[in-house]
Amino acid sequence: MSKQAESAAVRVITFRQALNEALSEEMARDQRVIVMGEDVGRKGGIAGVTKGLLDRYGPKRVIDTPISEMAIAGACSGAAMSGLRPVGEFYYSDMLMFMSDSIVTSAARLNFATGFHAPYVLRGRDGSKPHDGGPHQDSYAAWLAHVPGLKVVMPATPADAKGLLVAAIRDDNPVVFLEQIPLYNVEGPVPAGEYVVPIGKAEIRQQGGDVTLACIGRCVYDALAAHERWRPKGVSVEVLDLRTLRPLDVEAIRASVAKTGRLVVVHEGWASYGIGAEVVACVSDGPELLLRSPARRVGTIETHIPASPRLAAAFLPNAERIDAAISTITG
Amino acid sequence: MRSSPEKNAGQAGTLPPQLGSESLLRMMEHLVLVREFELKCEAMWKAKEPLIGEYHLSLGQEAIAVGTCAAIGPDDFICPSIRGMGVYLCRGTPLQYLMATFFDRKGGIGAGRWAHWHSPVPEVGILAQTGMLGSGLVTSNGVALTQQYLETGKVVVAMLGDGATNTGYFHEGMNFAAFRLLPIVIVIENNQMAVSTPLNTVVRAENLSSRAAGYGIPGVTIDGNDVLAVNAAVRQAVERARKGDGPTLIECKTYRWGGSTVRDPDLLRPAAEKEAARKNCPLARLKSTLVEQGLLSEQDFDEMTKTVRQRIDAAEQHAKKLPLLDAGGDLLSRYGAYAEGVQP
Repeated sequence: MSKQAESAAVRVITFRQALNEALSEEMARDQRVIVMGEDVGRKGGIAGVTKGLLDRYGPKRVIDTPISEMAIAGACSGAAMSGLRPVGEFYYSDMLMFMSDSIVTSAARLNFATGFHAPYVLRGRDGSKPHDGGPHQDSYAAWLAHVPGLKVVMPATPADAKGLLVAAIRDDNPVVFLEQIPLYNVEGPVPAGEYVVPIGKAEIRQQGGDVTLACIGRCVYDALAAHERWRPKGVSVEVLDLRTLRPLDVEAIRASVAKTGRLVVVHEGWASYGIGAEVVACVSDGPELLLRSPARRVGTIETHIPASPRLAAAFLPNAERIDAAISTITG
Repeated sequence: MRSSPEKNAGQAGTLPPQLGSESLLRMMEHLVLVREFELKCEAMWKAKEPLIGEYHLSLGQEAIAVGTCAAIGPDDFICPSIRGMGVYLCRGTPLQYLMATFFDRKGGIGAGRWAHWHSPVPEVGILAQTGMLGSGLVTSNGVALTQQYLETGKVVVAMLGDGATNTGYFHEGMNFAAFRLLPIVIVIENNQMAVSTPLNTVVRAENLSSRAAGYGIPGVTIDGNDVLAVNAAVRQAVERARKGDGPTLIECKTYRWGGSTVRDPDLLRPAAEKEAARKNCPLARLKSTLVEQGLLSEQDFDEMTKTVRQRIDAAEQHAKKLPLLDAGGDLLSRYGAYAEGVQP
């Protein structure tokens, strides 16, 4: 990554700035792209992602809506099926529960049932809020990744934030784009101008030969830290950033596990019926037996995340729980 | 624009000056088409023919779809309610498409993938609604947003049953349409029953149109069995919407003659009430007006009915000869792969 940063076209910017750049550049490129959501205009979005767009593109294209998640999702769906490329914003991924009927019943089904498309993006904050406490810390990525006809994307790096958001806006399907809260201020090299990262391709962040740590979103950084902790102990951890949950890059997951023979999946959200379960299943489904030890899932502890930041840290995937999982299968 | 359904029941109305005889006769023909098509469907379902899905008959409330469809242009959009076959028929969806769908054959609307009573038909501007009542309004808002943004001059009509007006979708959708002054007209088909629950047992307001005031938009209650009243109200609202003045809520009061679905025995409503409702027939009302004005003779009407019946029978016979939908092959190989562990 540092090599890329030296090139003239690549600057170091934050995850938040990368998302803003993706939106702004796509709006400049394509008149059909509009943005709507609560506080996206005058305030510039609750996370600051849509800052400046109202000034640049005006109130016809940047719409401050009332607090009406069902109406926002529905309007995105209708606008998309009639020729626009709307990008709707939600405050937290909890709000996807309000939106989910419209997403699943009106949008995800459309192409299968009619051959017509609803090309929209719903994007917003997802997952834990370290040091912040309170509710709104859940990640419902797995609920949505369950649904055929949807794409579900969760970038970990600023470059992916830009490239995947551009890809999502250009995609002909409805895309749910999840921005994990701890990542907004992460800095990294991001290419200026046209930059697209294809949806559905995982990326190896660290090569390793002993254990595959499949991860997504902010858990990629936990996995990278685990890679560093285990290297001196002679255990080589491969960090595989899934980047997209649907479609899942089954080929990349299998290729990595074919090499390491061991698998730990690290993700926010509960492990039951979750992201880890799907990743493990796609490995164990065959055709060849790839695992030489039991697979492990490290998700959010199976209860509701406590408000206290100190308690929450113990309930979310963390170094201690990742290390415990690695040691049980490498020991 | 306010008129009492009781006052007009069974009486011939006066003709609105802006409608030519061609428009009036087309509405008459559409009323006959919806009536005859649904009588045919009712008979088919009751005969336990191998038909798919449910059927929400609109017998008795045909004037709302007919009057509304006659008030919009071919390039405008319309999202039917769950009791929306009249819209499919008035927009010119070929009858054999509909029949093919009922018989689970190839060539039907939705291709067996979307229930026939919800299916979008983009070729004739019919938008998708789903079984999630009220969702059609918020999706229609998005289509209206596109028309506003692209300045196409087209409008959207979203039709809802009275039951759907009690959803969260309705509240969010009405306010969204209003604040943005979207080019949309919301037509409520108030048949006063949500399956088995009378509207007046779950809603305190006498007229659903009174809700419009809460959103800062005009709302009217009209006689939904008077096709000319429906047509006039929707025309006025469409004109307003096209000018950029935003949405209008039109409540059309009516009464469904049968149960909620064709399989519903409808035992909870008093027989006398149902019998009385049949006397307020939207078809008979327009017919008597046209006869009185010398625009239609009994013979013309019989001829019209005969032709419509022939079209319906021909569509039925045609559909029954089409091949059945095939669950194997393309469908499974495209969509079944993931469960087998192979990425599609």
